[in-house]
Amino acid sequence: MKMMKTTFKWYLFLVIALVMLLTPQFITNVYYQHIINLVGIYTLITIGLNILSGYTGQVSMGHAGYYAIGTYVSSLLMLNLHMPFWLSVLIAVVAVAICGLVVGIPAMKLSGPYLVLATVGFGEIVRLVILNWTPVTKGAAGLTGIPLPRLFGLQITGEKDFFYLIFFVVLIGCYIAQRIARSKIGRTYMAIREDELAAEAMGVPVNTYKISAFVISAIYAGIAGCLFGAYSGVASPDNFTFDDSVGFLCMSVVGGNNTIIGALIGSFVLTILSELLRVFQSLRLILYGLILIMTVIYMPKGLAGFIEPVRKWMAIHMKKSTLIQD
Amino acid sequence: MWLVPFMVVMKGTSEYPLLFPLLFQWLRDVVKLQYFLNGLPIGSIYALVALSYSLIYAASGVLNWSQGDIVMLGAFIGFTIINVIKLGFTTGLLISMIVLALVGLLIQIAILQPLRNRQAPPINVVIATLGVAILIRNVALVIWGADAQNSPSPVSTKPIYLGSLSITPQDILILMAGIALMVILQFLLKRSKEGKALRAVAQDRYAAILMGIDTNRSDGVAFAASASLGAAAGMLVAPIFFVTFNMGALIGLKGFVAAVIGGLGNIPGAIAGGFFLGIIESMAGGQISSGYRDAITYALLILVLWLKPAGLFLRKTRQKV
Amino acid sequence: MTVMEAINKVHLQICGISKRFGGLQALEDISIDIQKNTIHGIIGPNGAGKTTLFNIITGQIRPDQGTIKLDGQTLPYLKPNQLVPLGITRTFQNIRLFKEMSVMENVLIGQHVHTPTPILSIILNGSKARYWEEVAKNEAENALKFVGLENKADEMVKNLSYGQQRLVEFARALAAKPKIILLDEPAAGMNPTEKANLLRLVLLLKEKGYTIVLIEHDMKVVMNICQTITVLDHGKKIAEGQPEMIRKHPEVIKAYLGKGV
Repeated sequence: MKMMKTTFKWYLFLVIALVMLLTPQFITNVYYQHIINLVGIYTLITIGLNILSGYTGQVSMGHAGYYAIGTYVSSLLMLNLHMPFWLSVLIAVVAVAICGLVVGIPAMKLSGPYLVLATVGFGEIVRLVILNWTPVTKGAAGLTGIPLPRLFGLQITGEKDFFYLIFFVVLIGCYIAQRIARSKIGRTYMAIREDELAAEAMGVPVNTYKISAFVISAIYAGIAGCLFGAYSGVASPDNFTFDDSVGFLCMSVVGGNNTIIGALIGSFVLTILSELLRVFQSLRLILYGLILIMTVIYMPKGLAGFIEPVRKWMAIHMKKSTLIQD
Repeated sequence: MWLVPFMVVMKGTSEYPLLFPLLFQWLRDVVKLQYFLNGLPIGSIYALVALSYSLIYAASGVLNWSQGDIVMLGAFIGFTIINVIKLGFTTGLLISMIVLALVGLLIQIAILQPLRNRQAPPINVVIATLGVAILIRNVALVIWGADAQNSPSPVSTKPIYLGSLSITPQDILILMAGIALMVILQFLLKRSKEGKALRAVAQDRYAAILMGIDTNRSDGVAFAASASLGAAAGMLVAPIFFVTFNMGALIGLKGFVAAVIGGLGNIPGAIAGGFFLGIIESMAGGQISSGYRDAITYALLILVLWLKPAGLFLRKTRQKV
Repeated sequence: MTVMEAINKVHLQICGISKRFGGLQALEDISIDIQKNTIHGIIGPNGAGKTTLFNIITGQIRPDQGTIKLDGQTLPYLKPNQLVPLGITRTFQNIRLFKEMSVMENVLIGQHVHTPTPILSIILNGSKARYWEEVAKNEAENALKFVGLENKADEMVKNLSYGQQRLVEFARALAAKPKIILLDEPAAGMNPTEKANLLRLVLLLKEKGYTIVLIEHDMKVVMNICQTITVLDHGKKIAEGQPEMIRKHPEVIKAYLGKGV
């Protein structure tokens, strides 16, 4: 029966993956493709946030900072040193991981509002440095003409190519996050979220784990930043404000921050919603705010909270089918 | 006399020699006195906003992110009353404070109570108040538009010279009004029945419930009081900052920083934190670089949090095992 | 029994521990020898410093003075998580479980120090990660079987009764494969049946060779199962010995019943 369940899961996964792969064939409108690509990039950041806030219980309101570092480091390396895309991403990831470490070390002593403030402070510092370090970052004007990436001899141009690149990265990102979440590491993160002191008394090196969660989540945001820079071709400090950090956190909570799939749902729903509401023009953000409030009040576990009952129903349903087969 | 805030910081931090070189450098410079003076009025505004955060946090354990936008709303309502209905500054201030108190109450009833009844996790409360912030900001945008509002100053902005130092009557007014509001708040907290209930809830929510205090009521009082403090801060800050629909984010963040420096939930701490931040900012802006001023403030803040995780003015409480 | 043998039997040695919280002297020059494979009771009125002593032994609080020796070796001041691999674990007076996690997951956390964390293998779902997960699960199941909660493994902890939650905490401590278990009022809030069951388990553990240190208020329990009892009052050790002796000790009677008795 266990075999049966696994194969079913694989089929489900394959079908979804195939449908996703064919999306650019159905959706030919470039604007829609652009939105879908953005969803992919936001999903990566939100996955990182879910590991940090959903699993480990550390809230970050400064993820735009890591996102910005990813973008600027990789873009500047490509622009100024003409490095290949993959190498610049690699270096950007190292840079972002170090930043995660630097924030994680003071953050391990903090909790609640104090931690929120430290992360807000980090995000703002990054933005202000980018804004003021004009010789390197071009200040408020931002970077332009970030070269298009070349991977394995393939030149990536246009929304459709980027869709496949982003899709591939998100797929791997989801897989790794899911593995971590379901493993001993994810379990330990959850224990720290639930009761730090008890976890430590059971032998968990709490500080190491808390910092590692910061680093992992920073890496996710950093990779998202690399993709964003290459994809949009331009980047300015306005792309990485406190409001953006808040937006990512909203995606994480609205989707459901203690599952990995919640990240996907959250970034998808909120990005699409924000685009759909454009028809209301000036009322757009008012409605957005209202929907946000309603969601957190009436769906405390986020949209992913609806998945659990469905899964239970499916488990019962599948048990029946195996019984018939037997 | 003006060394007092630093002495508060230095007290009990002898184990952190890192801070000393920085402090001494500041102390050495005589020009500092002018920057110190410049920091006072903005400091009193930060203190008011910090108080509004701390009051709600103490009473209900909620971090209300819409506080900055409440400041903005207070400023808009007040100046609409002054400019359109042609009432005086004081009347405008009072009406704005009353209207915002009602807004605060509404937020508590419509958003906080349902969240509490469902025992939502703290992060959901944070997101809900962020939603309120987005809501208020965009309602203001629809009503007042995107242009900066003309905000008349109630008194002269011509500086008065005291030897080499200068200060404007406007700054004096802001400082005095801010201090007066803080004194009134302290008085109400200490003497009034609602204030006493609020302090009891802040001490121990559960015990307060057992003693028959209606915590929904005390939450409501805290939200109303802190929103009207925010409104006053908005009216006072208007002559310094431009009044725009998106001014709330910055002032809200600064107020939050001040509240955390003072130890969130600590009322005297919030006041001290507000002045401290105002002065530090003024000095960092004048001495180092105006572009990096905020970055320096935040870096100092993270350092402070690292050394004293519960704020400068709050003693660390041990978690009971 | 020679003197050397007697010394060898000492497992955990608490030497001259003092701790002050502000104006309160919580512990004053406490020395206790805990013998191998015994049940050692620590009793005393409220505020005597029992839990503080536990917190110091398990590294949650650093003492002002004094040392702790394990098997004759002085321990440096270690963090709680560094003491677990040395074989010291504890339970808490007011239950501290991971409430939003299943019983099984809770007990698995107890296994933390005994299984490696092969990061690469976890990401690639390799055989190494799966092997160690299996090992940890088996250990956790054994611990759950021992306390009789094996059929609750997938239940959320918050849905269990108070007595069952205490057992889960007990199982979690056992899963850490300790030599010495410190139980802080393990029977508090339990009904008589649950209490009897818990006592049976504690005695069983002693037979299996564990050393148990027990804080308990129920005198009947303490007198029945402990080999040695230490009595604390206002941070001082006022008596130590076998139950019979403690029962008649004038200082103990005074501490519990007040002066003039």
